[in-house]
Parts: sequence; structure tokens; C-alpha cells
Amino acid sequence: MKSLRELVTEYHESLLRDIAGALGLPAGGDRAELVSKILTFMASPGFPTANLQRLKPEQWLALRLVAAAGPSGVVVDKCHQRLNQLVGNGRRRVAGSILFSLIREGLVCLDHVNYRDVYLVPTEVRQPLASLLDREMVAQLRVRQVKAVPLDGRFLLRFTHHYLGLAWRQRLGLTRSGHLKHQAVLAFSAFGDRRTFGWTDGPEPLDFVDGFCRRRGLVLTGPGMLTAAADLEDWIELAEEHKQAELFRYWQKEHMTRDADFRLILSILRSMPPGVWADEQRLLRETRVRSPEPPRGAMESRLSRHFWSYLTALGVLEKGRGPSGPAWRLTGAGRRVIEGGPSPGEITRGGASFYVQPDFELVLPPDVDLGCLWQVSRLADLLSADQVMVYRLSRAGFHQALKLGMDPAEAMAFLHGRACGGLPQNVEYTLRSWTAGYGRVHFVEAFLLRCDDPALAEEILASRRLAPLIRGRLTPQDLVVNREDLPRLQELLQEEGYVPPPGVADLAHKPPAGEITAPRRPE
Amino acid sequence: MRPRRESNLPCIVRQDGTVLLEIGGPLSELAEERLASFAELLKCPEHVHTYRITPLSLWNAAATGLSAGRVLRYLREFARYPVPDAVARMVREQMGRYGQLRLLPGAGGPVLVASDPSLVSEICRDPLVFPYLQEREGADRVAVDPAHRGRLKQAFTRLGYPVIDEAGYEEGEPLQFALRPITRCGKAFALRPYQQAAVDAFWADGGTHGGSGVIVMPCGAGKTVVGLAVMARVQSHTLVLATSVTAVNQWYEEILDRTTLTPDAVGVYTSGVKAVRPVTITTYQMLASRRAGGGRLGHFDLLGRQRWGLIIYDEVHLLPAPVFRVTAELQARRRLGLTATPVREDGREGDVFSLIGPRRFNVPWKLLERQGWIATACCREVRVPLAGEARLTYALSGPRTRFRLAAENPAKLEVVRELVGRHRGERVLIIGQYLRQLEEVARQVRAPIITGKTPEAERQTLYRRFRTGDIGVLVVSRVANYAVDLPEATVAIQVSGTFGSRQEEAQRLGRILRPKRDGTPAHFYTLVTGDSREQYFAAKRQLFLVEQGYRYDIGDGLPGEGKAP
Repeated sequence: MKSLRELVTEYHESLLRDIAGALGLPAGGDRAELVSKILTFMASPGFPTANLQRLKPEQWLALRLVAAAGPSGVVVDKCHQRLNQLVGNGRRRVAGSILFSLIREGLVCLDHVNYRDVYLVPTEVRQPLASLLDREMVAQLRVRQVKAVPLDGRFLLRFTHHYLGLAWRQRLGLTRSGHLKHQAVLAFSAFGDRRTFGWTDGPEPLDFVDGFCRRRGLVLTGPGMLTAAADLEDWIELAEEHKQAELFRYWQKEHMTRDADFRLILSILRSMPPGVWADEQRLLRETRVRSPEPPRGAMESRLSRHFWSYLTALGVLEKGRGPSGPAWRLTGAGRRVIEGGPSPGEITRGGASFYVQPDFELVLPPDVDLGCLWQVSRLADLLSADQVMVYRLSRAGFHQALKLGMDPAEAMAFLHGRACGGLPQNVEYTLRSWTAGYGRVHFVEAFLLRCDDPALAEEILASRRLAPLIRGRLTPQDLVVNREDLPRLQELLQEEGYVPPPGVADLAHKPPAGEITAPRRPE
Repeated sequence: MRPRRESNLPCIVRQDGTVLLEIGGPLSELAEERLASFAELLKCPEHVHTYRITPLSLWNAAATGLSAGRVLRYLREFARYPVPDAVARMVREQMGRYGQLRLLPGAGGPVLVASDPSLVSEICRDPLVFPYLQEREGADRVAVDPAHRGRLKQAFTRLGYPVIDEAGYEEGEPLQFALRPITRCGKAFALRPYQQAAVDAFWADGGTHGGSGVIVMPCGAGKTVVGLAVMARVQSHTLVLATSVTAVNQWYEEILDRTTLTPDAVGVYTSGVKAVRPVTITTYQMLASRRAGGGRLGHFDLLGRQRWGLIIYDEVHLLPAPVFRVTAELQARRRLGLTATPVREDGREGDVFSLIGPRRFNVPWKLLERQGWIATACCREVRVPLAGEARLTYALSGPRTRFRLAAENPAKLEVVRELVGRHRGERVLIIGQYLRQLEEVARQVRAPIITGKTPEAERQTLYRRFRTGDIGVLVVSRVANYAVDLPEATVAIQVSGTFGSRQEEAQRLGRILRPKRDGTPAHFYTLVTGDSREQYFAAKRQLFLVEQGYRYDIGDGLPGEGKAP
């Protein structure tokens, strides 16, 4: 950051002469004299800040353009091009003279940075200009009599928890290239009306949430499907605002870093006083003016798809309906999230928060605790979601949860503890019967020792050395053996003269006579 | 931003037009009453009831005089979160349509009059309605072929523009009679307040804005009585259409019992007896049957020649398609539909709306239950295990046989005996599907049995004896599902049966929902074989009943013996 004095000292002689001429100073003398004369003029009281009060509209526009570029300044050609587009409809080349008038007034300076000429605002002007610009901008953007549009600021958080629940239940199949399968994408169709946020039929916001969860390491790419990562449960326990901040930072990385307009709009909204609505159209006009980039096509559609939508669904922005169209403002939580967010590690705990209906439906209100929502999404299938989320308990879903490691007692305790009004008797009975049905049969690892003759099986059972390693008899010819006893048994069988062929035969295999032969006792 | 929450408000209005009502709060009863006036109750399980706002429900509301503004005010008054714009828009748009088209009497027949002349030009070109219209009689009106008055209304309803029919009615042949203050049986009789309100809502002071429509009341609330009261108001020859011969006989008995009409003024027109009298009762089946060779509905011609001043459609949700066609030609007569379940399995609620008329009166059953007009019902599913031998037979059978084996589980007999013993002194109905099983049950509990083979006269005798208390336990097959009025029954035990239609289930329970003198609840037991295919059907029944708002318990034995699985 340079001061006016430093910058003027570095001006080219021809520019100094022009300035001196414009200020009505004698243009004669060498460069040093010119600098001295100009600086003396500029040292007069109130210069240059007093000049801010006398600017014409096009000068204001030019000054805002330069100021918006920040301390590094804006490249001269780029600035002329933008200004000509804004005030001269791209035909009249007026930018040069407007900017020269600002240089003459000491409000803008010319500098040479990295082999390029740039315009910038000197340090003396920067502070008063910023507060003036802010005041003027707030006055210009402010809109009253705005009715807030009821949009759910927890949509993305709820969506993410639902996604994680499905991943935990191994319902998110993957294609060979690692994308979500069409069937998995369809599983989200019941989740609310995305159009209320401005998303149409595109992949948003599933792609975003999918990307976030993978990048954050909450899910793992298993063979053919996503599965829950080990530290998913820790993340679930985090405070809601912390999760919101994480999602916001991911959004920043994915969308804001690439789009200067998004950065600019968010900074303008941040500079609005808390609670004040900004008119969308005027906000966009202001953005166009301040944007250092030439206008990229279809700003509205970019905003609608990637900016307004995400930030309202994240609870960072609030939408309103004003007399002349949409209006926006930052929410309290949004401001906190942008400015740093709460400390991580805070644990979310809620009270009783949903209903279990006797028809096995779980009705979750919009402000349900997210940990609770995640637990429900592990246990039950989503039927519909907008403000309210409705899930249904089914036997298949419940068994799947048990299969994936949910403890039945824990599931029952969760439902008992968190359901308003408790569990209806028929639901409790049914859940208990489902739990009782789970695990009634299970697989046990064992080996069969198949003999070619029942008499041989009898003989093995009668053997003092072999019998302790036999765990039971399944058929007259089939003896049950533990896996871990297998090497010892093989050894003993060999010693006894029964030599099983190598490998393990399949269940249908019938040993030909002599494969396991009768004992040949040593002569 | 979290949506604004007014936590003590009981409703949540959703984007798709459904409204969730949280029960138990201080405002929930009032909200329930308000919602019932413009939304369909989809289900009412214990904690949260679900309503749906549909075009039809809004038109029905408009027909009762509600405005869009009032509906939205009700919604906002009780909504915990802001009412979605889409719902508010739908309410305004659909209710705004009601009244845009009216059928008024004209010189040569009914005339269709639109509130906005451009609507006539726009909508009347539609091929659905064009064939029923005649020449334009002005910018805002067009003559209607009187023969197609019903079809025109049907077509407009399908297009989303309900027509208010104020073209008037043909006065039928007059018939002087009154309701008796003391019935022929000697019991005091007067209309209950809600029955009176239903009659008034239908009659609408005898004007053209009333006189046709549907009255929705839960089973046991006295729909037949409302029908009789409407007949007494109209004072004209009346045709009553019922669902079965049993129901026809019950109407006949009720008319003679509660009105001053004499047997020579009341006729039954069934396959057995064909008496056309000032008040004639017949079945839908008779009306819809065709003469040999197909062609036109034969009995309708006969009945159509009479000058009926009122036609009553009992259980209007069961009105078969041919009767809709017939009804379309009877639009100049007063029409009253009676039902407990406005939901039709075939989804033709729109045809009921356009051909019978809008809903004139609807009273939620929970309200009547609270007021003590109908009994509280306790549903209990009793799981009965299959004994060792039977379990093995079951396990080794094919899927079809398994269901039958589970349904006919012999262990159920013991439970039936136990239940009958527990409810000694009460009227107990035992319902089942399999005759062999029912016969065995009847033998064991020493009760008479009614099946499809039982002659009509014998059935009536048994029903009458059950009503009078001469018989305490009656075993019935599925023949008793519809319109058998057994108000004294307090206990129903279902020993077998697949899950029927929603109406069938409602009717079955309706048998025992009449208020009990001592205020005790009615009991509905379902015996289900545990760990069997029967549980699958039982689960469906369970779902239906809890959605209807009944308390549903499951246990491994009788109440008091319940064990966790």
C-alpha cells in the first residue's frame, strides 16, 4: 500500500505535466520541480478527501471500480475496458479522461506493478472512501417492507445426515467409475423439493454432499458401494454450527474460489448491517460495477444454481420478497460461519424430538436434532421430506441395521428415549419380535470329516487319540471338526494311517472307497 | 435460517398439500374440527393425524359456504410454520373455480351460466363438454341438453371446473308421513343434534342450493336415521338403494319402526319380491342388472317410470359404475348419499361429487366418540402359537396351504372359548372366513352360525334374536360384512380372514361401534397364528386400523397375559 506522496513521486514526467496543467500550476521546470509543486498543492488542508464530496456519477463509478480491486489495484487497460462498458456502452472511449480527472484530484493514483500500469487508491483516501462507499452502498441496496420467504436453512445439513445414514446402511451403490448409481441417486428423490432453493433437475445438491462426505473422509469407497468411515460417528457428534461451517468452507472451495462475483456479493452482503435486506437487482448492479472481471454471461443463472441455492439451504443467507423483487441478507449463523464458526468438538444433544406413530411412521419436525436424524436414517426408510421428514420402520430396514452392527438394545433405547409420547405398544411388540427373529439362525464355521464308510466313522470316534478332536456326528459318515483342530487332526490321521487327500472337497463330494481307508494298523 | 416456529400450534402444512396435525395439544381439537371442513382425513394414528387438501375437498368446502380466505385463515391460525405458497395458491385457485359455472333453470331446460363470459368461450369448446351443450343464449350462458345434465357436470369436474347445479328438482309424488317420537318397538326416538344438523345441511331450507349431496358419518352414528329424517322433510315418494338384501330388509324394518308409514306404503324390490310402493327399497345390483341379451338396464326402466322425489344411495362409496350411468340421468331428482368412508377404492370420488352432489355434512368420528355417541374401540391382536405337530405340518407345507393352516390353527379355539367366557353377558360376534373352522367354533361355544348358505329368513331371525339378547354369541362368515345393523354387539372376534378392502375392514369394526349403555369400550380381537404367513395379513390390518385411529395392541395371549416376544 502506497501513499499519495510516494506514488506521485514515481509518476512519469509527462503525466506530472498534465496534472500540473489541470491543476492550473505552472507546467515548466524539471521533474523534481513538478513533483514538488504538485505535492505542495496536494498538501493543502482537506486534499484529497474533500474532493470525494464533489464527484460526478461517472467519476464515482470509476472510483468504485478502482477501490473494488483492493490495494493491489486494477490494470489500466482492464479498468478502461470495464468503465467504457459501464458508462459509454462500449463505444465512447471516456474512461481515460474520467480516470485522469480522479488522478488530478488525488483520489486515484497510477503505479507500475509487475511490468504493468495499474490504478489504485492511495492510503490516505482508502479509509474515508471505504466508509463513504459503504454508507452509500447500504443506502442504495437497503430495501424495506420485505417478507421473509420460509426456506429451510437446515436443508443441506439434513440432506447430509440422510446421505450418511444411507451410506451407513450400504444403500449407495457405485458404478465402476466410482459415481453413485442411478438407483442410489433415485433414493434421494423423496428428499424435499429442491426447486424451492432454485435447483432444477441437475445433480445439485447430491453431487455437493457426495463430494463433501468423500473429501471429508466420512465415507469410504468400498467395492461397489459407499460405506461409513470409522470416524463418521465422531463427526455426527459435532455441534450443528460446526458442521454448517464445514459445509460452508467446502462450498467456498468448490464454488466461491473460482467465481469472483460470488466473493464480491458475499462481501457486499457482509458489509450490510445485520438484519438489513439488500435488493437483489441493485445488488447485482453493484456487483457488476465493482467486479474487476468483464461480465461473464448469465450471472443470474450461476447465482441461482450455485450461490443463492446453497447459501440458503445452508442457512447462511435468508431470502425475502421485497416490493421490487427478491431481497437477501445474512443470517446470524451465516455471519458467524463466515467469520470463523464455533470451536469444533462441541457435542450436540437434543431432547425428545420425533413421533413414532402406531403405523410405524416416524415423523421428524424440521428442527429435529441432527444426531437423532442420523440415527433414524440408519433404522428406517425415508418416505417423504420437506419441512417434515417422514420415515417408516420396516422389518428389512431394521434387520439391515442390526446386521451392520447396530445393537438391538441400543436401537430400542434410542426409540424409547427420543420418541415424544413413547413407543406405541404395537410398534414396540413388533420391534421386539423383529429383534427376536434376528439371529435365531446363524452360520458356524466347521469342517466335515467325511468317511467312505459308517464303520470307519465309528472307529475314529472310538479312537482315544482322535475322538477328542471330533465335535459331533452329523450323519453316519460325516463327523464335525473345528477349523483350528484341523492341522492336528490331519497329523493324527496320518499317524493312524488314514491319509486324506490334499485340499477341501465340496459338500456334494462322495469319497471313493479307499480315499479314507480303514485303519491299517502297523503289523 | 430455521423456519419460524410457533411451538404450541398443532399443524404443519406441507408443500404437497398434506397437513399434519399434532394431537394432544390445547388447540388440536379445534384445529381438527377446522381441518375436517376443507381437507380429507387420510389417517389418524395416535400422535399425528394426516389430512390432505385436494381440489375436491376444497370444492366440498366451498359448497358448505367456506371461502378461500377463511380456509387460509384457518391454516395460518394453526400452522406452526408458514403455509407454503403453493398450497395457498391452490386453495385460492380451486376455491375460486367453485361457483364460476352454474346450472340455472331456463325456459327450455337448464342453462349453464358462467361468471366470466370468456370462460364460456374457452371451456365450452373442449371436446369433453361440447357434445352436451346446445346453442349460446348470451355472452355468458349456453343451453344444456336436459338429458345430459349429469354427464355435463361430470365432464366439467374432470376439467377442474365444478358446476353448481341450481337448475331445480322435479317434485315427486307427495307422501305424507312423520318420524315417530316413540318407535313401534316402544323406545323413545329423537334425532341427535349432529343428525339434525346433517338433515338441515342437506335440506338447505328446501332451496335449489341444497337437496343433493353426501352426508359422511362414521359407522354407528345413525346414517339410516338421517336418511329417514331427510325422507320426512322431503315428503315425497322415495327410492332407497342399498348394498344387499340384508341391508334392504334392515331399511324396511327401520322405516316401519321409526316412521308413521304403514307396510302398504313401503315396498321391497329384490329378486325375490318385486313391490313398487311409495317408498321402495332395492339393491344396486337390481338396478344395474340387465335383461337377457345385455342392452338397457331392465329394472331401472321399471323404477325410472315412478315419480320419485328423493333417491337415497346407502353406502354411496360402493355405488357401482352402471348406477353412476343411471344416476347421470336422474339429475332432476333430489339425491342423498350416505357413507362412512368417502374414499372409493376405484378413485371415483369426483363422480360422486358431480352426480350425487357435494359433501353437505361431515362429522369426524373422534368427535362423536368424545361426545359419547359412538363407542371407543380397543383392538387387540392375539398371537396364538401353532402347537408342535401342527407347526411341523405347517413347516412342511407349500405356501398356499400354509396360510390356511395358520388361519385354521386349532389352538385358536381355546382362545375363542376363553374370550367368550371373559365377555359373558355381552353380545359377541365371531367372524371368520373358513366354514369348517366357523362350524367348529360354533359347536364349541354353542352358538348359532350364519353363512352364505343360511336362508335369508333364517338370517333375519338370528339377527333379530341377537339384537334382542336371546342369543349372546353369533358366529358369522363374511356375509355379515356390510350393512348388518347389530348395535348391541360389543365384542367382535375375528378368527380368520385375509385383509379385505379398506371399507370392508371399517364395516367389520363398525358392527361393534355403537355406543354402549354403560359407556364401556367395544372390543375387537383378531386371532393370528404367530410366526406364520397370517401375520403378513394381520400387519396390513394393523396398519389400516391404527391409521383409522384405533388403539391397537398385540400380545402373546389375552389382555393381562401379554408377554414380550
